[in-house]
Amino acid sequence: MSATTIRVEKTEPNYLSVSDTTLSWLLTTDHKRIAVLYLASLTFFSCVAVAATMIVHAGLLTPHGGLVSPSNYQQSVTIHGVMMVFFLLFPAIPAVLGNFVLPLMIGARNLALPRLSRVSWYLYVIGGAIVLWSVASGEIGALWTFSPSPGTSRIPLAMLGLAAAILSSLLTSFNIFLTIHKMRTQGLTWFRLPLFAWSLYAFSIAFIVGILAGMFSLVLTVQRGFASQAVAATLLSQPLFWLSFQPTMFLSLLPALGIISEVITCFSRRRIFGYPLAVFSILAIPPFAFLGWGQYLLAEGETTFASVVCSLGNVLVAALVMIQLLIWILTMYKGDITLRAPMFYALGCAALLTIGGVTGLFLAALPTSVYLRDTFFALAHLHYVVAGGVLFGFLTGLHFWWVKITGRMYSEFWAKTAAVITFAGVNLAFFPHLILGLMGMPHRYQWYPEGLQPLYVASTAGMLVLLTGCTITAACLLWSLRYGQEAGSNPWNATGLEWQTGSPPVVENFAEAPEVVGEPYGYEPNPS
Amino acid sequence: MVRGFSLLPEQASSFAQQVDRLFLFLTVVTVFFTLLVTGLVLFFAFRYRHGSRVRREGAKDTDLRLEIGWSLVPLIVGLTAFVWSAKLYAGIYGPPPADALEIFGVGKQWMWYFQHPNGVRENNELHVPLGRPVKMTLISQDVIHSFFVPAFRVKRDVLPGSYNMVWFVPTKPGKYHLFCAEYCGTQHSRMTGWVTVMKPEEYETWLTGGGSTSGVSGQGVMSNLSPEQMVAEGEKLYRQLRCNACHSASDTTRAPGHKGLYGKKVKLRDGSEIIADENYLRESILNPSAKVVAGYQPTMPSYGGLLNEERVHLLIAYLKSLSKSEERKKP
Repeated sequence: MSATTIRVEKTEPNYLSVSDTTLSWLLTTDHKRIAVLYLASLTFFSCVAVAATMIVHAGLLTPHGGLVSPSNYQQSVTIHGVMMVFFLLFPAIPAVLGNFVLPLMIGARNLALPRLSRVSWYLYVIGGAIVLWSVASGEIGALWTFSPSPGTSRIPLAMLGLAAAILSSLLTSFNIFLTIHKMRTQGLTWFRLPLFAWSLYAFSIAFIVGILAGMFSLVLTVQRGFASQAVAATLLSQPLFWLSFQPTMFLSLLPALGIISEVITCFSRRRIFGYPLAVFSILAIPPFAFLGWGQYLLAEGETTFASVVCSLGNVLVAALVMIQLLIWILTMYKGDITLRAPMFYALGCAALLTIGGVTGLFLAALPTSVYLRDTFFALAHLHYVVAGGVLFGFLTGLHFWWVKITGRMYSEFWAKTAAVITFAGVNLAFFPHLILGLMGMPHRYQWYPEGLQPLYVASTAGMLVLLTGCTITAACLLWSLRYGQEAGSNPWNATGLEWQTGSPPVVENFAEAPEVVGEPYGYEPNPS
Repeated sequence: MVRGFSLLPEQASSFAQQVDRLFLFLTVVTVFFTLLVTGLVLFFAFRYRHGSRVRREGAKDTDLRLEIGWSLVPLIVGLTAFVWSAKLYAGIYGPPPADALEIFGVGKQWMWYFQHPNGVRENNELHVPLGRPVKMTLISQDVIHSFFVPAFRVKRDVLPGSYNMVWFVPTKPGKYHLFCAEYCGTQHSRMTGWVTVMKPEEYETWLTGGGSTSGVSGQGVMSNLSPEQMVAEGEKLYRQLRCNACHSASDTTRAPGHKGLYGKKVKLRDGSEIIADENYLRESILNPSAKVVAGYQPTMPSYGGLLNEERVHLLIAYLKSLSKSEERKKP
């Protein structure tokens, strides 16, 4: 983005060095500090989630679940699901990267509602603590969908924790929505808005609509008196649950798509191909994704008409994701490509998303979908989208903007090594699940036919590889904090406004509000 | 024909082959697009790497023809799959043929229980004849379960509070996995069983032998009731619960009669009409005020909590018999 370049005085303290008391962190209204707080707590929750995941895998190593008791197994599956979905999947990109980068990207001093943003972090941490406590202290085997609930006393408490986490994500979404509307700097028209901002915008609206749609239907249903009977409540909880979470879970991929676009255009030194197409295809995804919400209910006996509509919605979503891939490929065409670490992650993400997208077609077509629902195939598809799309998208963005967040450069070599290992890990962990699903193996089964053991073991090995990759990533990034070279304000030679200020940025982001005078992504080939 | 596709389990129902053809098509699409995208990404990343001497001029920032073309190809492929699959789905999950063998199934934490039309009952095992449509009427005693036979390529959720239906035509003798596919509690993965497809004459022998003939596993068979016995048991229950006190055959002032009710159109208080099928009968026993017949007050007490699904099934068997005797009397 061409803009007036702002010189930062060396002496002016940045957002990190301005003060370092605990209280100054806990009471901060600086979007950058809140993002860092989110990153720290998110890392903690992901350690818990990973530990639970490994217990699940241990429980599946032998065909008769010998290593882990059934109740511990179910508990671990629950922690894995709850933590991953509500505490990592939803907040990871919007609350860490979105909170940090978005105001910088649009030339704003802060989010539209900085205090609200702090409240959403409080809610996030409190919610996490409640859920962990309720799950760890009571027997809870209801899974993250809380499906067959009778008889477990801890569920209402855990629900409270989840409500806090969902509310936190709602507030973040609302804040992002307002910030994009109200806080854009002079000259930053809608069609000069970077794609990451667009994708956050689409996600925020979709998340708010998705959650509210679920809640309103719940209220209407209770009002009509259906839920007064326990049986009816069991039946209704399913559709209402998926009405909210089928689209929102998938749509948490949107911000990742935006990040990949940012990174590919930057390291290809080319203008993004078809900017309007990129914007419209991102905005078109949520409505069709909402059409597809009923796919989880196929076998429950919804009407054929409803099934067909859902199927159509999901087919169109798959086609729209293919358009994103086209944009990336054609941006690389005749580019001047340097394969730096963020680009490694971005290309890996594109490959994983392709697999996630095409396997989605099996779940969009009805007869195959009924067969594959609730089997390992559906599970693998979901994990290619979230572990492939969202995790890789998050890591792409984290490596791209880490230099801005910390002002330090990490080791290129180790970052790339970690990217390759993580990529191999995701594939090794989830490809066996695709095969298990095709064979008709239901998921959430601790007992399974003996002949299938090699596939389960391969998947566990893949998890270990994936874990190794993530550990190297964490070590590499932490190492940079102490030993990394100073990055300078714009090490990638990128065009976004966030690169027009120091790394780390000053508290007010910019010494004076920048003015945008041209299109985004005015990249030219590197002088050689 | 599509057997090269060996990851999927055996094809043991008439649907299996049709579904597998769709599987094959989607696999080809999957492999094609995955190779295309990863291939192009790798090729471009190498060819246009920084420092390589290639022509970089003439790259366009936008190209309407290419954009439309690339958008249309996946869209057309997707819509082809959509139309094909919607048609197939409507066939598989549509109404069963009229001559289908009717088997009643109950899922509960954590077992399956099936009842054949002549009253033979079995647990966690299901025996079905080859080549004849089988209609399963399924209900759950507690939480949501799901009836999943991979070799038949069918899956249907088993819901508490409402009958769900699925049908299939077994085409290959053998023993196949039956799974519960909907998470239903800690012992979910133990809620499995076997479906045995038998030649029709073997099935007949098996049935008449009370389900425990030599060679086939009769372990799961509980007490068996013939259809006549079921009707008799249902009638006993009917009198025990004193249903006949109000639903009398001769006097219909207090409540509608039951003779010939099953399968008939019923006019309701709110003016709508409904076919008195199993789901309607079941609902009217357990939640009578939900759909009250025109001309009557909602005075009947609920029998929910008093009856388990098996006893409701007996009552319905009796109510159905009242319609059959009616039909027989007709010329």
